[in-house]
Amino acid sequence: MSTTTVNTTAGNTAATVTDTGALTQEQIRHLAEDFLAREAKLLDERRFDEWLTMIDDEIVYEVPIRSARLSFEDEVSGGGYRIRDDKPLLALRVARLDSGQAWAEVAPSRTLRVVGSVIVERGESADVVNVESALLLYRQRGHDELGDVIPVRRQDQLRLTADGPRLLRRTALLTTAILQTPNLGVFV
Amino acid sequence: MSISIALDTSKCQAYGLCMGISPDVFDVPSGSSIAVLLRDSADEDEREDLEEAARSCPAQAIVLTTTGA
Amino acid sequence: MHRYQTPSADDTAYIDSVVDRVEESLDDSLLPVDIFNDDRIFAAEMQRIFTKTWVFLGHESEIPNKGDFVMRRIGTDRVILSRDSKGIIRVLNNHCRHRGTEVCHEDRGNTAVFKCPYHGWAYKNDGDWAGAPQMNDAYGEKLDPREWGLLRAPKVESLFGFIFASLSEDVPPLREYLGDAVWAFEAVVNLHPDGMEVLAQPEVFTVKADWKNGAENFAGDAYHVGTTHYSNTLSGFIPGLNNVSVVAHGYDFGNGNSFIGHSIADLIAPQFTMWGYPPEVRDLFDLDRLDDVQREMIENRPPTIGTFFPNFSYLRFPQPANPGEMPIPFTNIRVWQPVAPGVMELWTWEFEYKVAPQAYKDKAYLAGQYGFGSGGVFEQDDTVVWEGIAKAGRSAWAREAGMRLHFRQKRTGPDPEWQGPGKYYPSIYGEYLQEAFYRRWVDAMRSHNQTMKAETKAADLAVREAAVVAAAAAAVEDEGILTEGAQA
Repeated sequence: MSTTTVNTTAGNTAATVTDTGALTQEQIRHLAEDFLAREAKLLDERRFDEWLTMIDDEIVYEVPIRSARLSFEDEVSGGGYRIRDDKPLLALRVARLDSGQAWAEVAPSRTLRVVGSVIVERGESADVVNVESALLLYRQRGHDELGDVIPVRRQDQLRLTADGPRLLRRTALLTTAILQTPNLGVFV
Repeated sequence: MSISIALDTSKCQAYGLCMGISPDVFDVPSGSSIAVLLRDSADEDEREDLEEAARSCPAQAIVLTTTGA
Repeated sequence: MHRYQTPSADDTAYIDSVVDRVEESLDDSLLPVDIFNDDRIFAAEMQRIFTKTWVFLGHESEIPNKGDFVMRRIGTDRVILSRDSKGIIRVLNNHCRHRGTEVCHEDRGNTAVFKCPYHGWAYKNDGDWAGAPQMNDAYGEKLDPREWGLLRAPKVESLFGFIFASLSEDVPPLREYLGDAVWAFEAVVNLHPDGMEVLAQPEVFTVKADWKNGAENFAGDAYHVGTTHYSNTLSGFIPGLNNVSVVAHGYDFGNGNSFIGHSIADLIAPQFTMWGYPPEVRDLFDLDRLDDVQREMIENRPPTIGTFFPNFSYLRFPQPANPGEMPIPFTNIRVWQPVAPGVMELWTWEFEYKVAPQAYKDKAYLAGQYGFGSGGVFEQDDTVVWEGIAKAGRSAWAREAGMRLHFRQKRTGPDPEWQGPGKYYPSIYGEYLQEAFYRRWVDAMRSHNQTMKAETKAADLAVREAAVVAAAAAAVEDEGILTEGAQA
């Protein structure tokens, strides 16, 4: 049983629990939903450096390639991915955006992330939680573009730590087979 | 070992490809809206043709099972 | 959805006049913007270029087994690329001959038969007509399998496993068509008898730029790297991107086929000869297959980026798979797939030598995708800078002003001592390769001078032959004389 201390609320009053194994389903769900909502806010506000602090050092962040197939299981077979980042590669993306010369995001996209359909289940170890969510990311690029809607189903793992949940793993399944936004210059 | 051949008559649409591949096993009599089996078992040496017939059937109506000799 | 007009006969004069204007402008090293976003020019490109030249579709390693198929495009048409039950590669039109319904609905799979969902007409995986429901009662007898099969591209050839097809009979064999470009391409993808293979299915993303901008860029634009991609130096990922064009050279093989070469060892470090392949891969190569000039070329100034007209490009450059690691070369193949005026799908594949260790393949895939996938830290900026040209192409102001683009960089000319085929330019400055791409475009847009009638549009020789014979027979019957056609 883990003895990590975890904040169960991200609000003003913290109620700490010394044993993640003793968290109730309700508390875990609250942590996960709060995490996803705050993550979306940070990304929409382009506070990327703060967002990186929510990412576990052992993150694997993958956007698989999806094809039009008859059966659902075959849609992401083949092993191809659009993106497969670890923490250094994610950090490098942020550094590129910070340079001011990442032309794809000059002017940066204005986004709104709506996160819903959240399913939370305990993971294999007491401090890991499996979280599935659906994301609609509205994105208006540049200065004269029609907006794009990017629909994504995420399968995440959160690691519960003393400083709050951290994103340990994300598989971001885009709904589209042919991407209908010109690039993945925004984080899904 | 031998092969047992079955025809799913609810799926069959009388394309007749099977007849073209294994004419001594399958037939589509004129006026019939489905194929008929001329026999329902075959030897191993006919496996290749029968499997091709099953694969080629646009209605996926042919079922092959392997049975003990 | 994307919409554009199909040209009418009256448009032919307009299209031809634009092509003439492009040629005149190229004589001054200028290029009218109109061609990057014009409904009639686009429709003419689809017809005059994409039905008349060799077009890349995929690699043999994507359809290794009999019955395998993938869906690709020629022009804006979706086509089936299949390996039939005899192992022969086929390129098939995806429309049922009965009422035109699409018969293949998946991006890839394996099947012996394609069945139309409308009335059930069935086709073998080589495209031949196979049957119809209630065939005896509905049709009485089998239809001619090729005459009523899916339209089949008359020419399909592969070069080192890269599959190209032509919808026109009137093309020379692929190797002859690509000419001296094969010599350079061989030194890139044929360094081992087992050749290269795809590492995964292609990634596809829709970009608001014209297909020609990508093809032109990869044909000879090393000059943009220090500006378009500079964010990757500022981020700390790859130092000195502003110096890359200094060590870039040009290989011109004619007909809009060209490569950029880079003296990478002068840019990064002395061990980065041969694209910087590490010993565990380089030691596997069999360089005896190359001539001396090829060997020297890949050792010191390897072809790193290139385009085969119209829309096939290639890229191999060393890049770290993770920050701080040694850069390793990835091999990326891409197609600038036209979709509508000013819009394209970018199809991108990662390749590696079959014999390379799996760990290397995994890293090369990651490097290629991180740099040049839809989230690519290089690719994102490329496609975005091209968007402006698509907008300018449709701009009333730009058209009124006759706005033309500038291709007048200083040219120092080819190296007279070059021993290889084609021309080698020590300096990439001059935009001569990009200008050559558009010269080829002019030629291709003059490839036919009349709209084709519906009956002769069939890419299948048998149908055309049957029509000629039938017409001749009818003429004999009508007039009792022999016409020219009867001698066919």
